[in-house]
Amino acid sequence: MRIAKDESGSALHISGNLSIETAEELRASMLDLLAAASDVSLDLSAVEACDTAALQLFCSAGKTAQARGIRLEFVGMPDAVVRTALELGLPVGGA
Amino acid sequence: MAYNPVATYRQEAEELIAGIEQAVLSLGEGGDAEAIHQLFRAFHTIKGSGAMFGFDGIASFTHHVESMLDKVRSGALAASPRLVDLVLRAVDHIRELLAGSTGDEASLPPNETLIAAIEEFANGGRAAGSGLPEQAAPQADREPVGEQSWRIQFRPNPGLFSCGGNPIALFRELRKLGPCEVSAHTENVPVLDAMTPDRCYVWWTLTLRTGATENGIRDVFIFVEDESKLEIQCVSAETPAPEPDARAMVSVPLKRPADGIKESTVRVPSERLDRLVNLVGELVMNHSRLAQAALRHDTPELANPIQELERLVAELRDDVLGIRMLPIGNLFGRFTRLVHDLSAQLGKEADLVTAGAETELDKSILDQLGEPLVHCLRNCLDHAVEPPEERISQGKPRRAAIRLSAVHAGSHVVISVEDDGRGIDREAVRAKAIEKQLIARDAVLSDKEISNLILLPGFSTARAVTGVSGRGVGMDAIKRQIDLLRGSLSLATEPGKGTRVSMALPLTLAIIDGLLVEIGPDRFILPMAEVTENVELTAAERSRRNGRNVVSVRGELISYVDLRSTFGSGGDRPANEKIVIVRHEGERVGLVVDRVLGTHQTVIQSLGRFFRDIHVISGATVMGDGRVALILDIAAGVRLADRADESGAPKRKVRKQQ
Repeated sequence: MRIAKDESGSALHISGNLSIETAEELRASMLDLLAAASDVSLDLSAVEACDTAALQLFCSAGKTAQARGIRLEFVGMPDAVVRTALELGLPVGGA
Repeated sequence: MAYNPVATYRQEAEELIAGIEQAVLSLGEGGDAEAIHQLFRAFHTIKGSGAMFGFDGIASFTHHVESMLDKVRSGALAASPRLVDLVLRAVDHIRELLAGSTGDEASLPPNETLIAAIEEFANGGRAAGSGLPEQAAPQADREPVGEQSWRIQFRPNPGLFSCGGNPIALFRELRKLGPCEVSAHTENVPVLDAMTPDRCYVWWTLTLRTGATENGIRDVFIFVEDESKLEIQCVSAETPAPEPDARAMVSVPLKRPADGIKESTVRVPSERLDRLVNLVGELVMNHSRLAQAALRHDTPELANPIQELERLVAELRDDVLGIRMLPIGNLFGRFTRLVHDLSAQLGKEADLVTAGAETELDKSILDQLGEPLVHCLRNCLDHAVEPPEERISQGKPRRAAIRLSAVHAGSHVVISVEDDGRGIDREAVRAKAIEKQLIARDAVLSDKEISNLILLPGFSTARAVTGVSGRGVGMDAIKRQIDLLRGSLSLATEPGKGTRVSMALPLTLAIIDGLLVEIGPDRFILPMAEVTENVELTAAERSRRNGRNVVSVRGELISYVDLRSTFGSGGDRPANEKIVIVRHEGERVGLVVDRVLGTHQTVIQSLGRFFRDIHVISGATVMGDGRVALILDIAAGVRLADRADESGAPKRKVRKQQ
């Protein structure tokens, strides 16, 4: 997994394989992101694969944003992520 | 220490295979549902973890066996000797695969013939009953059950991810059973600040439409079921299941949680335990040094803590040694298979009956016990058990029964192998012994002494050398091995009725309770377990018996060995000596020492290779003051008494009077 921050600090570009091993790093980065601005986005278009722990984190990020009144947008859901979410019966598209 | 999952898998698979062999051979005697279920579970685990650790060859092969067993479990096929044979061949093949692959490469080709045989049994099983292997369509043959809808609630253990659980894989597995709808419940997922990312907060409800039984569904969750909450409900039963399946569904899942098969255990490499035992040993030695120092300086305020320390150390010692204890059943499991194979090879029919499988023995002893027991069982099958026809003509049941049992007796475990075969032919033994010049032509020997002759090196009465035994590596090999373990071997036989070989083994090899004695300047330890009493030997008593080494203890005459002359100890003989009376294989023998000093927790240390031919001493221990005390081997001591008698005329007749 690789995480790159936008110059503005309001967007994260996440790529590679998201798994339980990288979950803590992803959590910390998303917390930073949510603390940085009130209108942020997560770009997942370069994500190759993800596991249950990663999806659970996105779910938590959504809840956190809502609780803090921050607008969080997921950008570019790759097929792999959508498929995994469907397999797990999780709602897709930040709904 | 690096954790090696592949090694762990091998180890686990070996254990599972041992369990499978035992279960499948018990099937022959009635084929109960529990044994089938156990088989299925074991193969399922081998397959599942095999795939997880890269043993793909094993996983795909095991899959065939598993499908076959599934049909037996659902009642579509009946358990039969053919099934037993196939399962045994399957575990052999899995062993080969385990030995041949390193985990990341499939180096051995799959055994196509065996797979074909398994498939044939799985598909043609019902047809085989009528004698004609009809070509049954595999698809039509699948589940005889109609489709049902199931509601599954899966609340995983929060630690699911860290134990390798993967819901994605689980649900994929479920979808193989039939169309499945998954919906996740995320209300427990906390905000990012409060979240531990490797915990699982989500839980699921699933609706599955399948022909599989509740068991089949449960098997998908087999690896995560124990820690997670799993509820499976049947929500529709449009086509009710046929009778036998309904029964299977009720009985099996009810039994499973009650059995509590999985216990919470920790795997520890045995070297670590050995190290722990060594450390406790040093602790024991240091404690006695401390105690002696305190005594020398006469400091009463140390007395209490030292006493307390002694209690704690003793407790620690017992616990540590207890950890190394393993039930002997693990070992017994292997033999069911051995007897099955050997009797087929020899054209004999025999069943192995085991008792006392839960008896525990120190792991290091258990590890060295396999070989002598295999020898024993081979002897039984080869020499003692008669061919079926001969048994029938003698009015015995056609199948011989070989009893393998283990039982606690004091500080020993007695393991015996008992058969109902032809017994030991004493005349043949005698003739052979004379031929080999082991005894004189006119020697007068008791029955027991004659049968004990076969324990001598190189003794075999078998007329022909067979592939199984009779190469002269006979009972003496067993005896030597048992002696090494500080155990003793005895034989009882009745011609025509059977033979019993008993091995008495100490519970542990590391630390024993000993009796500390002194002869001149030297100290010796006698294993406490074999000491029965101490009596005084006065100079007057000694001379009254005219130099015969016999003493009368409460009316019983007991011969004794003078250890002072055995070891050539210096110093003067005290006026009153002590005789420590030990019991060995039912005989009582006295050992004469200068003084008895008391009990001593003895940490046994081996003397090393240079001293291995000294049989009278089985080891040494370091005393509190840094001196070394030798540990006497009682069995060898008794033999010493025997030898002394041979040179010194008829003293030893005493023994035979009892």
